Amino acid sequence: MRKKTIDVAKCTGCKNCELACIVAHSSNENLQQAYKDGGIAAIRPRCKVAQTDDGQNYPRHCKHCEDPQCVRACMSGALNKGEDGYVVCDTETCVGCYMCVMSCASGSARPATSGRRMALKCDGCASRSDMACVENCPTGCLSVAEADLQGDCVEYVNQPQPREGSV
Amino acid sequence: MKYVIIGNSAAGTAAAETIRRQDPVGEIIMLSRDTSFYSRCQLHLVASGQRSPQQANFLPADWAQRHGVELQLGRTVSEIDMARRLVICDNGEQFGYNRLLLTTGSRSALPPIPGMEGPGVYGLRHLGDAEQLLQAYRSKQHIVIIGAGLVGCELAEALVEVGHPSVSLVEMSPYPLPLQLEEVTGGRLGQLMQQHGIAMYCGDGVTQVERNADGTLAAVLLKSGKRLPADLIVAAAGVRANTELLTRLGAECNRGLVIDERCRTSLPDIFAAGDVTECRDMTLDRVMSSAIWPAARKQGRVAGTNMAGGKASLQEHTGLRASVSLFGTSMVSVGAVFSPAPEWQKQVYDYTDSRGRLCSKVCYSDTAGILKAAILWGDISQAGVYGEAVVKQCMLGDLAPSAVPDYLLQAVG
Amino acid sequence: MSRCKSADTRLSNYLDTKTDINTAFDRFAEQKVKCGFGKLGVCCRLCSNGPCRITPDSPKGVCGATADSIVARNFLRMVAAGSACYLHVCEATAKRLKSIGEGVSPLPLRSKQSLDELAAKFGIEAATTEEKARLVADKVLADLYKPRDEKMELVEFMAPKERIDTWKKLGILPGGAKSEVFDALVKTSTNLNTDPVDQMLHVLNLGISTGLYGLAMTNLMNDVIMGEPVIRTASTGFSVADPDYVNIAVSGHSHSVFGGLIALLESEAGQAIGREVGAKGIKLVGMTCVGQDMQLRAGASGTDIFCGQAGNNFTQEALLSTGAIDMVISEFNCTLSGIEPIAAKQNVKLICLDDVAKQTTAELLPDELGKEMELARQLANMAAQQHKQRRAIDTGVILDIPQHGFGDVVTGVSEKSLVKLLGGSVQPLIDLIASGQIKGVVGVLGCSNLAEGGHDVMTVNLTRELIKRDILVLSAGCTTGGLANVGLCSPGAKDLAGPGLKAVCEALGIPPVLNFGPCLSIGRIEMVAQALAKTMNISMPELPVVISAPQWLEEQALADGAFGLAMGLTLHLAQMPPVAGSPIITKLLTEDLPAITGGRLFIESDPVKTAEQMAAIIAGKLQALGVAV
Repeated sequence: MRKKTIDVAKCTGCKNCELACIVAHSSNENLQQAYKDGGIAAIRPRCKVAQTDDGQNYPRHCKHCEDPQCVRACMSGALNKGEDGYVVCDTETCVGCYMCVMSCASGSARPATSGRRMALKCDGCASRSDMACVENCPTGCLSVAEADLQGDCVEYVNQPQPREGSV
Repeated sequence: MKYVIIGNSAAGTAAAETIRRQDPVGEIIMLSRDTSFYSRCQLHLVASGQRSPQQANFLPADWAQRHGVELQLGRTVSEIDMARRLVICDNGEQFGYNRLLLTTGSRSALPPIPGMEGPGVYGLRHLGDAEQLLQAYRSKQHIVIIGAGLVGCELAEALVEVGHPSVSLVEMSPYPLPLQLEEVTGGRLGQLMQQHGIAMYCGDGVTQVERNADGTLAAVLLKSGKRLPADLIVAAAGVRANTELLTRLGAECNRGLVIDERCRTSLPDIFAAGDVTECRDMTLDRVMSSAIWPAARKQGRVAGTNMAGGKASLQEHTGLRASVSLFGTSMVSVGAVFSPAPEWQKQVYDYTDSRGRLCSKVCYSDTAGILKAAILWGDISQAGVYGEAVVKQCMLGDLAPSAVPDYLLQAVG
Repeated sequence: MSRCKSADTRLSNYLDTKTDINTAFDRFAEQKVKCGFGKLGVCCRLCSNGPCRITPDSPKGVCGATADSIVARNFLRMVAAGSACYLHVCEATAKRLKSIGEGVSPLPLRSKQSLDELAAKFGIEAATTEEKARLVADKVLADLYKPRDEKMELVEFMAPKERIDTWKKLGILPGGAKSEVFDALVKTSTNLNTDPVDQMLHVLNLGISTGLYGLAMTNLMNDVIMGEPVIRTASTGFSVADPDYVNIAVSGHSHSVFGGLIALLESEAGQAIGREVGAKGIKLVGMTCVGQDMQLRAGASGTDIFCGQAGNNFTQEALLSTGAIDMVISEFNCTLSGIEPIAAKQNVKLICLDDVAKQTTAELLPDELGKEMELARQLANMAAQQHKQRRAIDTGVILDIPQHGFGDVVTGVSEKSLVKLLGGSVQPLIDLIASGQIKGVVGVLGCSNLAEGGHDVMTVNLTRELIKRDILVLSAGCTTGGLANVGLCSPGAKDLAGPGLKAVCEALGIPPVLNFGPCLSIGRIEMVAQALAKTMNISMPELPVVISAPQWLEEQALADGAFGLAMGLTLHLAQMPPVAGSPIITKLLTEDLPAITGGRLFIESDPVKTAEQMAAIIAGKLQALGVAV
């Protein structure tokens, strides 16, 4: 099974993962077409590079948790954790109640910003042989390898620590 | 081991799944008055015709088979015989149990208003309610919804979205969603709904329902003296927990069945979960009912775990979380925003994002700076992070849209 | 809580009430994450094999270019663009001066004395004023248009001899300025120059023409057309806008482009246009640098019709949301795209006078030589009609002008007015430094940005640290707009100065921060530095002066910076330009340059450390000059 690793220290904030995710979720997986369709604004990336309070780049990708709160909160049956461990949202079934958004402690499920009301989250590129974000990461921050899966499907390394006294 | 679950909604099905994960061989029987599975949160979509009853099913078709659950749907339980450990249905059928779980939910409570009883008045708790409303609303000219809570607001929006020209919403509080919003965001929501064609009567109440000679609805009279023509009323202002099966047996009960942090009622081997219960809410440190889907699911899982001999706790339980999207604006409320403690500090951050969307973050923190409650309006993508901060008692960090506050590092770390 | 802050707390508070508009202060948070490759300058987009980005695993582009080559090309392109911008302003000003001289343009020449001095400086003699104007302008234009292999002739009149010698030695004496920009583009195109050192020398070459022509020459010509700066007291901030008038906000960098409009509004007929629509008249409000230029010369032109400078580049969105502005006229840069939706909401007419500054929703009315007065009447009429329409009932325009700014800002400081203030020479300033009463002079100049802790935060904090240490601050550009709006250009700011500087302020009646107006006046500050060096009989690198662009924003700032470094000055920036991906260029700028031009770049984002380092640098230079410190 596929395990994705995120080495936070290697993120340069280029947002290539966001762009790759947009393209992977566009109608014909073509960068130019995604722009032409207004896709860059219309297709929201499922990952996002953010910054810690200390100013360190921090790629936010769904962890496909062992105990996924988004699935627990889903009232439509759209969200399910598959046998491969990846949590996928069936957008046909999703009604956009956003209880997954409300329940994900890492903010990895987000509302769609255009079109029908529905939640968007990483699908682990289930329909692809590779992972778009990993393939397009120029720094080696994102990587994927076959592994015996235990726990979450995504692992963070060099995780920044909360500042003292802040939590 | 024989498990009987009464009720087939969020809590009941979560419990069944959890029991099966721990006990591969035990017998699980699910009894319910409902004849199908459906998500209660989608009833407004069914009532307005936006989704079919089949689409409201939140489970895969082979759910019962996959989890080895014996379904006994369309059954009304009339009695529980604790001495013989039997669940008895009104048709005489009996089901023995070793562990029993009550997830009977709640029902609409009609407000005690003169003229309310009678035809033309609907609740919205069951699929049947939704189907009846769907049949009725198209031929009705004036719909009045009493109560601008989550159900009332979502139904009003759904009816306007399918083109109904006259929907009025009456709410006692000065603004809609009084349990989820505060005065500024609440006032803003009231305006938003008004702009989208819903006649809003907040800070008002129904004093009387007028009926024609033939008993059909004519109008509702409001405390303010206004008279709203009405030929269809939806009562969305209050629910009553379906506790009778156990109160009869002497179970501890306030407005709901009191359960401990392992979802046990005061009666032996009888558990309860979901809207029928009351338990301690960690954000308010108070025993209260919770009426949201994720909370019911969680209680179901905790009950199931404990019924099957495992250990699970409701220590971090809260029902004070809600997500609602109305007319393109999403909002999420976390914690007791309706009764902030006097020492809480309220911070409001409003801004217009690059899409031209007005966004707000209303945060309440205690004297130590710990986030206690929050409302997100417009951009809700960080809502889960804020919710986690409340549950894990973390400091309120930077509120910038792309910031990762320290408590998130803790949450995912 | 998370909207970007400003050092100007009244502005911050005002923005907190304007939650219905989206401004740069909101977008800054949305754009927080930056691409590291872009920041380091190691992304090359020159060919179809790219974009190539340099990482430890891929240290060269497909073509083989190293990080050093890629950074150098990117940087030279930025400086070339910045240089082109200032040269555009210089060219436009020279063409107008020439047109006036030829009798085509009807604008008056407000300072014949400036013209005489300029002509004398260049050795130009002529029978009439008009002829003189034409000849001076011709000289400037001829230089700008020379091919690259012909050196510009006026350079030798604009810089000290030791600089010219240094530049000659380095081979960076510029040929025709526009040709130098042109070849910078050639040099940085696909598979051409890959030598980082050659490209950095070209950067310095462009810096020289930017500073001497784009900045200094433009100022001198505008002094001729619009009049010489006179030290006076004026108002700044949003409060300058009087809603009883038709208010036109001005944005750009070319003062004389507004010569016609100013002349019209100074006249009774011009004001009558405003009165016809029920206003008391028509006034101009400074929005970006051209407003600073109007403020600077308000003692000579537009005295009664220029309200004052509202703020700097990042205050314009808030300015438009006050509802007081009826029209915005942009002739050059620094008008933010962000004002367009706000203008639409507030029903503000947007006009551009030059297609280089054309905004999507603005109307382009090209400024033609000889038709200045027609254009002025058209603009005044349009503004008046817009005012009338906006003030009609039900347009929804809400006036919300906050108490903002200061009414006692000392303005009009120039290389000449300062000398006049000092009694005819810069010697008194030198004496003050030599006696230790003031500890040095620092130019805090250039742009404003939202990085470095927020809008103007580094600028204001650094300035406070400097004056506290008895260092006199000279300011020009958006820095001045920010400093004036927090009171540092008002006489009362003396109380924030150290005792030595405070006494000087009291004796001369000046604030501890001298307001030279627009970014073009960076050229004036460098003329002051030249005057100091000349009087002290020392070279530019020996001067006990440091310049800083603490919150530099744009390509023009980098070209200005290149000028400072070519002039042999020590330059401070809070934020590294996008060159850190190249070890060679970083070392060249921060370590090797003192042995090349005598200039030096240092980067420091902490205001206290910066001030300490500046004080140490100045002290070191004074010590080298044999002045006890």
